[in-house]
Amino acid sequence: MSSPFITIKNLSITRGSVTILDEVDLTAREGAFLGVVGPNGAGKTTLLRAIDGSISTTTGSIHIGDIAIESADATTISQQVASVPQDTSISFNFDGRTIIEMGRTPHRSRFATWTETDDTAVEQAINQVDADAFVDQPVTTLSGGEQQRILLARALAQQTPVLLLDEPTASLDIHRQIQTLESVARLVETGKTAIAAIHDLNLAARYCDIICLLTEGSITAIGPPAEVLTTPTLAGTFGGYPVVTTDLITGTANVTTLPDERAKTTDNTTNDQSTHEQHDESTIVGDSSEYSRETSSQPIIHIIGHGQPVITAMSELVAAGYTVTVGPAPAGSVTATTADRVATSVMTTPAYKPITESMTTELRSKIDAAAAVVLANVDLTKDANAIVTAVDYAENIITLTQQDPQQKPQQDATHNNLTQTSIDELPYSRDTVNTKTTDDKSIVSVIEELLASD
Amino acid sequence: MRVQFRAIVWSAGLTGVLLLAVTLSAGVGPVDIAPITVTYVLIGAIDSMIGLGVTVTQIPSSIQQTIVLSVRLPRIILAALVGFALASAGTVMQGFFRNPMADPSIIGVSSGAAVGAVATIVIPLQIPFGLELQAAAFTTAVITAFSVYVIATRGGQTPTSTLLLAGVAVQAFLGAVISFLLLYSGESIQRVVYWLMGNLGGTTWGDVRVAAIVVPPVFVLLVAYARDLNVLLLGERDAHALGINVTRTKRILLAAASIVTAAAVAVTGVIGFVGLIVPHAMRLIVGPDHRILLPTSALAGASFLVITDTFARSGTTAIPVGIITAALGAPFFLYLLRTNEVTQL
Repeated sequence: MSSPFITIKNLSITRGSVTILDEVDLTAREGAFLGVVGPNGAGKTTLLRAIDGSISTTTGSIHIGDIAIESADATTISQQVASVPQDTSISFNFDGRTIIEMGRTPHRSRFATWTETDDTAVEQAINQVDADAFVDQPVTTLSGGEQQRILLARALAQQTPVLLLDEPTASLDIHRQIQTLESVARLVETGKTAIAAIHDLNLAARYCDIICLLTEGSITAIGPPAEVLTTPTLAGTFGGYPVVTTDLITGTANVTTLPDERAKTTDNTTNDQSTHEQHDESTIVGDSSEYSRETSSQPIIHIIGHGQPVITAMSELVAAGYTVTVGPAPAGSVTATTADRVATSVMTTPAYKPITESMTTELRSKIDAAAAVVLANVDLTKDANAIVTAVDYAENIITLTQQDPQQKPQQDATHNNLTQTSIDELPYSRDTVNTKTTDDKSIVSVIEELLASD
Repeated sequence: MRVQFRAIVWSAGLTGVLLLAVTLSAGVGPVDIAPITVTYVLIGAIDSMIGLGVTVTQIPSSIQQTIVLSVRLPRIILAALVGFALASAGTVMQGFFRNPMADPSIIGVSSGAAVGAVATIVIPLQIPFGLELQAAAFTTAVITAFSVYVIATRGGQTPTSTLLLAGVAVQAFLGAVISFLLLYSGESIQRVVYWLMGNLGGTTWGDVRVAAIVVPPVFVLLVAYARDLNVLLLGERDAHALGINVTRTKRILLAAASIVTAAAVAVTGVIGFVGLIVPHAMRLIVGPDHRILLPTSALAGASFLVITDTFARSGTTAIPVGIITAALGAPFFLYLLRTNEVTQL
């Protein structure tokens, strides 16, 4: 089904003088899992409550199939939309089953007796959330996660085509978060349409087909997770310096936010861009390299090396406002792909091939442009060429030494931390080069000191 | 099914308790009448009303019949009806407000009734009915409840917390009015105090008829909404998501509970504690499901008031039953509190 099942047009909600939702346009096709993400107070819950008709809209329309939510009565809506509330506390001491049975309310008239259909729906819902073990206990004796599964089962017993979840993972431990979203994903596979307000961007990226980024009541980006979860869109919404990488295990986007000064200076430009381009099929606001280039007034730092130390150093430097170039790194390696998202530019080499002449020239120009070169976890055999180029042309060289010996990654015969001694032991050396090791200090503070002394 | 079965079993059991309480109570008084004799009198009375064709072996004397049927029974039946009304209204209000302190008159019904009743006693104004005090009390009670609802409503929304506070404020105001009226009550002060304490003395079949016309039909309405009340306990947002028309349901529940309370208070005065304690006690015993809780609370409330009123009238001086309900009810409730772990409302 590709025709929109849920259609929200020009939806605004104001309370007094406060605009909570501002001209929101949103569609979801049948069988989609739509994740609504955004900072606290962006209007996520309000959007969900508008869809289930529990708050009145100021302007605009919401349709589910042919039903206009604004004018439908509660029973009609509750046959279409089931909600799992954010607040899972239940104050009366019902047992779980009684609460799940309440999910059948929309399908029963006041004096109707309990039917086989009702029974089947309830049993099925209990199985779907795997709640057999505790469904007959009083809910007040259940844990937060168990209470939430009861409420999810209640929503499933409603047997509606649309399922709304407000922060379904908020009160759950990591395993339960995954289990809950897995069961929602399975329901979506069976044709349900799910809309969930999700706080955790990584979980949203992993389970949702479409992500809708809500900022101060407006949709600032919507599309597949890979297109919405990018540094510029996220920085514009959440602030900070969000670095988007690919999770090595799930293969979906993984957002790590670094404390940041540079995002402050670029907030405005990013916001402007995103508001202009919103509501497209899938809005991508620039890409990460463009975002970084906008702020290239800061000194350039070039990093040579492989793996975790490079990624960490690069992220810290980018977050601190430096323009970072990386390379050479084998194409497709974690270092190269991460640098591609985070750093300004990355030089890649074809895998299993040595550095060519033209690359050396390119590397030399990068090193020339850089205020300092950082050697991080370099491979003394493969990187020999690059190291020599650096020693030949760099103004400052900083070798990264591990801050915590326990975190030393894959140290073997070839992957050594280059030490001061090893540079000194090079067969030749330039007098003008200024070499330094980080010792136990952070790379950012070492570079700050170094550049300040220049 | 499960729930209906439990509701029926509990209700049947409590109906048995109520019948037992009525029978025993009718034997207690200045003239002792054996329970078996009372039973014969009652069977005989029912037989002559609807013609069961049952013959009893031992015919009670006509004096015994008069004492049971004309003197004691009206008062006992009224006690049962009033206890039934207050306990069911209290159950609904506690569920509606999701507040353990809620009682039937939380939105000012009792205070309203008291103003009407006290005014009728104090101000020499004759209304040409036998029931002027009851009529005035009922009217002011309903007007008060309605006013509180209107005061708490803004833009079509009636938040329960606003309703609760508006009720408290209006009760305080009406308390001032009652105190003021008391200042000028003169010789009628004893009647006023008796009324305010809640009193079943001097009950006639006329009083019983008033309560019997109002209480059962409204109770049936409340039972019909028991399931909605359960869903409302989950919170208004959830109730809406489950297809309950929250505003309308709240209005119906509030109106029905207030009318039942007004009818009870109008005929007997303010009998405290029944509507607060009986629902709590029953909730501890049968759980929070209103499909069971509402009928069982109502029946337990009826038995409770019949029993406490028996104590009230069996002493050498008649004590207002409101004193007994509080004096017996509070310790019993404290006992329940101590023996049951009360985690939630």
